[in-house]
Amino acid sequence: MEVGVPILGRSTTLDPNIASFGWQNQGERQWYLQSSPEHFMKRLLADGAGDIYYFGPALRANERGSLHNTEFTLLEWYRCNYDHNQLMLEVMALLNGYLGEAQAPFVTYSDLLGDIWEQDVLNLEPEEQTNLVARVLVGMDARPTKLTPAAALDALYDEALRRARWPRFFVTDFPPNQAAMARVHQDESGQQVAARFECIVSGVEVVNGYFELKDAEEQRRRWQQEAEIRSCNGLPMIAQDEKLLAALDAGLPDCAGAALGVDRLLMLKLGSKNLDEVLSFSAERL
Amino acid sequence: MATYDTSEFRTGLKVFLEGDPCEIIESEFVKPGKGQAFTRIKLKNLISGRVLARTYKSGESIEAADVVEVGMQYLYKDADSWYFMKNDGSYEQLAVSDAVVGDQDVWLKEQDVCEVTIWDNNPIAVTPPKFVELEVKETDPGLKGDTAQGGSKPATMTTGAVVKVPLFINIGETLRIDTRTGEYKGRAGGN
Repeated sequence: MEVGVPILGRSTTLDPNIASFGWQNQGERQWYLQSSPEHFMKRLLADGAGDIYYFGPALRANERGSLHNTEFTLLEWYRCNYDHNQLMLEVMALLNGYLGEAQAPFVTYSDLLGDIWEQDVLNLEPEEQTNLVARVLVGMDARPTKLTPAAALDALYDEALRRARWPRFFVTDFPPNQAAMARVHQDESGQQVAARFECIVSGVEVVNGYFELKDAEEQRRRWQQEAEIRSCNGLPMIAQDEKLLAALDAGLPDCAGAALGVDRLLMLKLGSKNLDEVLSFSAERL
Repeated sequence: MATYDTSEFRTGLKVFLEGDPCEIIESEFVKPGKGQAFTRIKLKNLISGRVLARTYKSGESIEAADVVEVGMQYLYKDADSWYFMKNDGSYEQLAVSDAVVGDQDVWLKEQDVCEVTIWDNNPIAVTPPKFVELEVKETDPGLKGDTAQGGSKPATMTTGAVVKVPLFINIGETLRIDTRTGEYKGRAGGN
């Protein structure tokens, strides 16, 4: 079932790496433009909506590049009683249908970094991770400026996606601190990993998916951690979404959800290298 | 001290890096889905000409370089300097050394208006106009009637520039040359 959800809400993601547009009249509560339909869709799921999808805009300030536009289009959908593995198969079928059939292997986050950088990147000391970034990023004299370990991993991951040899593949088993709103569980070797995946096509992240976290306490705890990072970095305070927490308390069905970048998918279908070519009005042409 | 943050980075921006003015020649915004955003840039050191690369976290700033491009008319040269005059009616003149003019010397024609890059009140580069009209000083004679064939020969211009030209070009002709590629673009006067 297709659902419409507001682009304007009273809460938004606390992710320190995502900047949502906000508005506040004096003495009134804050408004936020939604960076994703996730919060509203989960409230619908808790209310018994069943399998739902959203096809519409999402907004993220400060994101502009050949693969990013401040306003972009998401196809986000949730499958009740699916886990992330089943959802990956559905994503695979969707891409096979739209882009043509292709083999799409599953590679764990750890194996991807290990394959590209030939080291057990996740278990390197933070300083070794930063040194690795310095050595491999962008040709001559590349020198990142004071990267945190998390940022170093992000840089290594981004570059790994460009260098990966598979035209289409899934990255699975993200580190637990990159779980966002996905469950965390143990893999076969007893390591904690996030039940999160991404689908990469031609080096571009096209889909991000989770086996959705249902535990309200765990969600609260993660948002608290994000709030602390926001505070440390001087980012604006964002109140936790109490209505979503209430919905989780009431009970989210077991479900898996995926978010697909529609503009990027169209770009890939047309063989473009730049989002500009598929947007009627990209940010600079407004 | 003026600075630019990563959201302002773009090709052509003049910044100050490790003691030298540099120009951004490539800029790319990268951001893994739920991760830190970066801007990756390639820069050209305007003094040494060397290309370097840097990666910055979103929000970081770098120092702006006090670099301006000034339109100046090339007047004449002496033993070690080339003399330019500001194009704004002030008649101000500037001497630019041979070293700074470098390999652009073969494209400088008297009276042409060039862009002189000035950093901290010193000229550091000269950019000739995109096209220059130069006279052929030396070349092998062309074969009469040979206008439709491909094939080319080298011709030396009065400035010393050596350009590949069609076989029908003769000494004394004025040619239009692309100063960025060194290519013959036609005979002056639109032929």
